[in-house]
Amino acid sequence: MTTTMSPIDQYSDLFTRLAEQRTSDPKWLSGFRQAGLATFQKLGFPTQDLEEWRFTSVRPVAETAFSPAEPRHSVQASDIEPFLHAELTGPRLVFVNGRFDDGLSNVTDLPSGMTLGNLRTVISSDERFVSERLGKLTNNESAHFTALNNALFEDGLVLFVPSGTKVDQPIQVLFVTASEADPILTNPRNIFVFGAGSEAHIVETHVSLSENVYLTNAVTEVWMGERARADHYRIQRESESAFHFSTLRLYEESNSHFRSHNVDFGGAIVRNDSWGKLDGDNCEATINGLYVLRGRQHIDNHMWMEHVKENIPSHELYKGVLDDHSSAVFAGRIYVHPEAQKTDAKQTNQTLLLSDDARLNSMPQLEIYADDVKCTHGATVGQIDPVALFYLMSRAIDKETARNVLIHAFAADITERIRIDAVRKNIERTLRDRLLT
Amino acid sequence: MPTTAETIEQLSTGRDYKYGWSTDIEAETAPPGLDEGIVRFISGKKNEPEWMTEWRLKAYRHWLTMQEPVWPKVDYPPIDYQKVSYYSAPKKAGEGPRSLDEVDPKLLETYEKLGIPLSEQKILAGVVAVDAVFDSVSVATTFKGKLNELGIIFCSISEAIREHPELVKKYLGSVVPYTDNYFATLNSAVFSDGSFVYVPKGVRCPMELSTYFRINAENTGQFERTLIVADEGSYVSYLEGCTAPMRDENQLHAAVVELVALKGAEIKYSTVQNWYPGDENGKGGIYNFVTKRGICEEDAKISWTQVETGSAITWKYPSCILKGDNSIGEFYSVAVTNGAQQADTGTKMVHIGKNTTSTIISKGISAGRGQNSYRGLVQVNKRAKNSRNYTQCDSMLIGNKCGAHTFPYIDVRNNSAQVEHEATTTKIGEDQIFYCNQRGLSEEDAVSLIVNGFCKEVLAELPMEFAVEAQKLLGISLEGSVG
Repeated sequence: MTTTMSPIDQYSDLFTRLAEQRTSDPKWLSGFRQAGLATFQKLGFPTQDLEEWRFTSVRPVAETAFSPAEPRHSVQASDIEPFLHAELTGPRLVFVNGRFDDGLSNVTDLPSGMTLGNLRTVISSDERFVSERLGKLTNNESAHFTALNNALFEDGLVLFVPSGTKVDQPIQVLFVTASEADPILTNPRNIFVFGAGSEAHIVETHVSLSENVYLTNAVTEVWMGERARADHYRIQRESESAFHFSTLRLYEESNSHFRSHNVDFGGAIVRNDSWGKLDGDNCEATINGLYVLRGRQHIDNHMWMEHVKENIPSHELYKGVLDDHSSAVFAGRIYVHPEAQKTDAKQTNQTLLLSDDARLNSMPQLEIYADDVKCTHGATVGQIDPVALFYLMSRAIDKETARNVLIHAFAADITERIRIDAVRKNIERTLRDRLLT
Repeated sequence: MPTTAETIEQLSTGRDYKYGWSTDIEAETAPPGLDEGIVRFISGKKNEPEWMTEWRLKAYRHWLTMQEPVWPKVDYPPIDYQKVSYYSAPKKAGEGPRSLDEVDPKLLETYEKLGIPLSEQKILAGVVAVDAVFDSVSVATTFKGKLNELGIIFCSISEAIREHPELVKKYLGSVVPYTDNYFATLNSAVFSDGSFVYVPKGVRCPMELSTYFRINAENTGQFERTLIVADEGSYVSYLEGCTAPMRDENQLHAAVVELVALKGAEIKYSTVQNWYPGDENGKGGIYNFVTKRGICEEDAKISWTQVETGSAITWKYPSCILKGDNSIGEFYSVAVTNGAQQADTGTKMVHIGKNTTSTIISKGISAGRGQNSYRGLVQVNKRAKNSRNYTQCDSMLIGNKCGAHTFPYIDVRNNSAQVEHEATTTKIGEDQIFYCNQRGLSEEDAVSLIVNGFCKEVLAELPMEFAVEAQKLLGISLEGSVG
């Protein structure tokens, strides 16, 4: 690869090289990838002229020459142990550099009819399941990174919970990047399908074994059948030099409820796109986020919640703690269709600026075409309340501790909503460690 | 309960535009189209000095390089800028009338229909001075003598260019440069007339200054340019009212208003906008693309209050640049869209100085098939320590064919700033209507009452004379035939 190659050509080149390894792909999949590449070639990398990317520059991503992640088997159980929730004894799936690692994973005792595995395996064992769903919720015409994922995805998690099945133990998924010095690129692709009345919890963690530069570009599609319940936790602890792009596409049928919690600690440039289509009466969606940044980290949370049918509550709460020169963007849109009467939507973005050099852009937006709705949104930004700080210090708590207590309290709005103890404690611990360094 | 539904039905169907007629006056109109010749023609018509002509030409040349913005949430067929006539003046221009007696009686009649009889206002104890703009040329200016005594200059911008070039040179384009945006640049090239106010140091303007804009001749664009300069420690309150007669062809209106509040000065700018909104199918109506911006020096304050009930399309963001320390910006707005009206309006508060404060209260009301968007920016720069902003955007929807949207942009770059944004969306509750009915109020009165209550915080900011008119306008805009 020459250095004069334009960023887009680099990916076409990458695609051609990978295609040689993918000769066993079914025809529809090759077509799907080809279409993804064509779209990406057309769109290129987003520029800041686009409203959706106004405050996030992906120039460093575009200017980095990434090579495809080679499978690596040298990662040991001891390497990933610190990132696992030991208390969770349920199924565990580990992906190293984008590929499923059988040795580190543990998938046994699944309820009958349930599918839990990696995408590559499921494509060969149940091709129809994948072909009927892959890319059906994504709109790649305007989504640069989804198109790239379509073209290049290596592997990912496939989950199917049959109707009426309740999975008691949370499912743990770990995406580990163990990169060499050369920047690598991984494109995890996940499909979650919840049958009517089913229930499951997923804990998805992204970590790195090094502080290298690399790109993670994940896309997840979620179908919620009637009355299904799912909790999804996405904990992002990538290298602070890495780029992390993540897209969630959610489709809900009536009376279902999807709860998503995104916690972001890592990444140099992070972009999370969450799209929900609430297409059944009385369904419900919760999308929460917590981001704690330092240095020159940048995060951009984009959220789009589309209320299609009647009587749907949706809740979005995003809280951020920004230190040093870090910056954050929040853009939320609640879109209420004319038929979506009795919508009850609440969207909040609160940010704590610890440093004078931190920057926040917040755009909580409402687009409403129905009249009998209750929609509110709010955004606040400020520093640690000096009165509260003074109160604690007057009780003989030193300033540092008092400050940390208040940051914890601020974040608790999100952490307390995490219903798996092990996950909550893990996040609280990470937050504490972060504040003490 | 059929009652609420019926009211909504009525609201969304036809209504008459109360001010829809046109006065038959011979106008001297430039041929449609825009080129350097037209820009020179306009400038020549107004006997402008060379520097002004050059400034217009610079703006025109820059305009050619610009693209019409597409980001507003409004829909309209493409405008052919070569089909618009950029200048229209009542024929009698040449020698401006010196007193009301010299004014064409037909004009006076028009204003009387609008409810601002000049002759009467003159007698009205000097409360309001009116610099009336009929189409593009200022035809009568009252109370000038009284203002003169205090050193206040209140005249048309054309006159100011001739009489006070040093002030105009210094401040024109200082807040909205000719390169600012597509419509402001167009205005800079072809602005026909407008008002100019200068309040000297420490003077408190004893009366509300007022202007009535009115678009009259068919197919003419209206491009006013207003410049208000409040020198150190002065105060002025300026009222602007707009109504326009009924037209079938869409009319383009691209105005620019610049406010300069020097150290310790205060400017209060109130607008009631009631241009022709088009019929219920969206045919006709004014395209209102306005750039309004003020700059606050140290300890200065600018307060925008607007009641927007007219226009087919409104694109307007009265803004404050809080440049000086301790300066204050305020924005109070009521925007109503009914029929097929579309409004994309809001404000920008740019905090640059320390301890700057801004308040935004916006009330959007959507009925019929109206689309009402609030779009606002609150930007706190790094140097703006201890700045505060409070924003509240409330929307009300009447009927299920309209839309209410909120697009706030918050950009904070220092941690001592405190920015709060809140927004809610509601409808008129059946129980509220029922409660009013129970007490003997008709549906229409109930709606009017509830809407006026919803807007109370904003209406309270208007000067008395305007508040009464605004309340009536809200009623007219929403109640269609009820009036």
